Amino acid sequence: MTCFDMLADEHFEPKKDDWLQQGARLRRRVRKNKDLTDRRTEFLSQYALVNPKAGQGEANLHRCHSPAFLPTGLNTAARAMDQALAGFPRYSARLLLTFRLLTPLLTKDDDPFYLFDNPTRKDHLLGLPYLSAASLKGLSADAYQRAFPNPRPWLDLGQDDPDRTRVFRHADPHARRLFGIADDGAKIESEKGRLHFAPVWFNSLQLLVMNPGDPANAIGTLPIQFEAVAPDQTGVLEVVYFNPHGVKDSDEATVRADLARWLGAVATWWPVLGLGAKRLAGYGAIEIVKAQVQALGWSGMADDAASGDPSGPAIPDYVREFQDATGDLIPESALDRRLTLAGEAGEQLQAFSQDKERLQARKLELQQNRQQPGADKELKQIKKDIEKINKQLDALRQPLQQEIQALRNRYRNARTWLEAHPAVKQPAAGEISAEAAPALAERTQTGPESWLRLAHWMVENGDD
Amino acid sequence: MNVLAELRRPDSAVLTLRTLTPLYTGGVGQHGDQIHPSGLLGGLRRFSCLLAATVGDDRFEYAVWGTPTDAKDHHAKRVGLHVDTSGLRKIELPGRINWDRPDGQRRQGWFYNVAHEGRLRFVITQRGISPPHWQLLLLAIRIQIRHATLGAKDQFGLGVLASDDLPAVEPLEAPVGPPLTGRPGLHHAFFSEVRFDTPLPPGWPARLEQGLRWREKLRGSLRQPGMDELRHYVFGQLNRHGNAVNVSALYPHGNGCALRVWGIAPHTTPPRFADQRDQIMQALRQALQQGPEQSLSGARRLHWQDAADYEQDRVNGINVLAGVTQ
Repeated sequence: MTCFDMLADEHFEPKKDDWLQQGARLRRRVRKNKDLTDRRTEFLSQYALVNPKAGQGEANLHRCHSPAFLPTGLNTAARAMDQALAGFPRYSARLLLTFRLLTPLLTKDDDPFYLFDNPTRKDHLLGLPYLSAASLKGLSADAYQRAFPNPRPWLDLGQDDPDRTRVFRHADPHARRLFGIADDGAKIESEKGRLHFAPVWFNSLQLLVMNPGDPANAIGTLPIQFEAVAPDQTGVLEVVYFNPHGVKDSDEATVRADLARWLGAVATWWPVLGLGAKRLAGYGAIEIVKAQVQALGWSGMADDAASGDPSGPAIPDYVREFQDATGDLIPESALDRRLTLAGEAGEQLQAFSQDKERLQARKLELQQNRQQPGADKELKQIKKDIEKINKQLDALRQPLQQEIQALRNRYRNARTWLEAHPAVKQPAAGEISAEAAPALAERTQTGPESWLRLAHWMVENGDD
Repeated sequence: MNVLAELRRPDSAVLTLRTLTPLYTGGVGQHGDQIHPSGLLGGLRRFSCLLAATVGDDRFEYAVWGTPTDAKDHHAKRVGLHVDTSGLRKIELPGRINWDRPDGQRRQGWFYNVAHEGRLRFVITQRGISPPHWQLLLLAIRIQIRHATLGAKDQFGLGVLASDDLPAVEPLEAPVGPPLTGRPGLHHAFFSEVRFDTPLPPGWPARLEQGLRWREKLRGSLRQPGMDELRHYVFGQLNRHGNAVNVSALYPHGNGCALRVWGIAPHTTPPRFADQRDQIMQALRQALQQGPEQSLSGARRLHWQDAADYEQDRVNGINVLAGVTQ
């Protein structure tokens, strides 16, 4: 619920210990600027300080408790790797980067009805603070541009930043794949980046005050309050690399190189430049704690059973994926077996399908016995239920569309390649089946150098 | 080629500092329970701009410290500050320190709650700053750590830091131009240290009180008819003026101890009492030579540097203060 909603509801009763709701209650009584200053002072002494004496005291932390920390909630980083990477194409990978906040993190939200001008960005339903996925993408793109700069100075790359960003990414194929190309109003075709970011969730807030000095008298007269994510919390950033396997530049070496450069950039620049707003003034400073990579079909992973696969490199991976035991291309109809959802979504899909089958059987039964009392009414209800299930099934299947398209593209590329190389009949590792699915494995590094060590491992331990 | 071979690393200056007197940066409850980076950055910014004014560089503040986000020509800071406070520990200071004023007037005293001592690490990273501005910034940091203070309540004893490994920087060769007018600069500064042969008194109450006694003596030196406004301008007045003069608490120095007194006069924009600067410096120096009646017993020496003495050779003065000349 936003502050506006709280202000608009006449029957709104804030919870006694809820910082956000109490702030909204105080804001409700404000009619002029003087009131606002008084209400802020009241809030600071009542909620932002521990045992205040004459308006002074230690800063209080507001802890948000939320179901978002459950594995199936908003905190996608808490998902198991088989759930997170279910249905992803070969060589796709997920990074989980753990860091500790050394100084308060500022993440400005847009809430004009908040008691303070600088609220932390929070989930509107749960009130849980987070650093947004879009911010993280921007911060990592900035780090990447510093880590792998274009030979030309940044300002020479274009007229404005969107222009310069496009030129930079066109010149660096890794950056182009990682972040994509935005059209930003220019008449060009945009490209989707392969990296997918998730927000980083926190659960403690605090208030800060900054009081810039007036040069005329060398005292601060206009204190500015900031709500901030409190330091000493651990955040986990989830980044998923979606590899459109089978298209150009989707081999393992390319994926590893892309991810290694991205990880090397953030590992090198984030610890000195920080995250969030006012990071150059020392806010949002981080200490690196841990790095995990979870990948599909990567070689050299510690527990990767397929890592020693000696199959000849002459046949590309995207071809081997569609070969049977004798090296022939599998029939296109066999692809359907791969287009099923796994994990929780798969279970839901199965449950909805079973419900639909049950309803359809009953519908048929009723249609054959329409004289039965109440049959028409029940039939009407069944039709509505089936429509509802169809919508839910569509929603579940929608994310599969991109993968289906990629799979079909790979299949067509494999067919073309085999037609062009009729002499090559090397048996593949196995028929397309559960055994042929790429192995999912993970690797973990810990310590302040863990992100950079993992980046180096990615490029130094691959097959290339 | 390894795709990480071209990875460019930040160009940073790393400062490992230790507190000689506790560090305090305020907070939402004025309690000092956290170190706030903005308080430290503000101190570095102000001091570096003082140096820029002295060498006549009117582009420094705009180019290095950026603009407000709503400015037409907005750009961010060209340096980033990373503060690692994990080596600091929180300490309780004595609350109120007070004694009867010599003139019998009532006084509230000085209040301290919580501050920090230990080790502190700054990483200052270049983000497009020009080499001359980087040189100026490092020179300013060297001067500030060697002779001045950082953080809040430094007029009342806190914020003296030291480093065994200040960032290396080439001496300044020439100023950009004449000192900027209409704003304070390091050419208006004085830096002094009173060194005592006496061992450092144990505990912060005694060390802070000694600094405050010296401060009282200095303030008293401007307690003359017709000088009230000047005294308030130099030593501050609640909600009217900030301080021009900072007096530290006692800190260890060799086998004895010392306290640091430094300031800028005039210290505001626009400047005030500029024509009385000589009079202010003379009064302060004389008071420092005399010391308060309740000063530590034993021998003491005053080390005094007035930037005005370097008026004919500002560059040499800056290099001497920064400790980058022979």
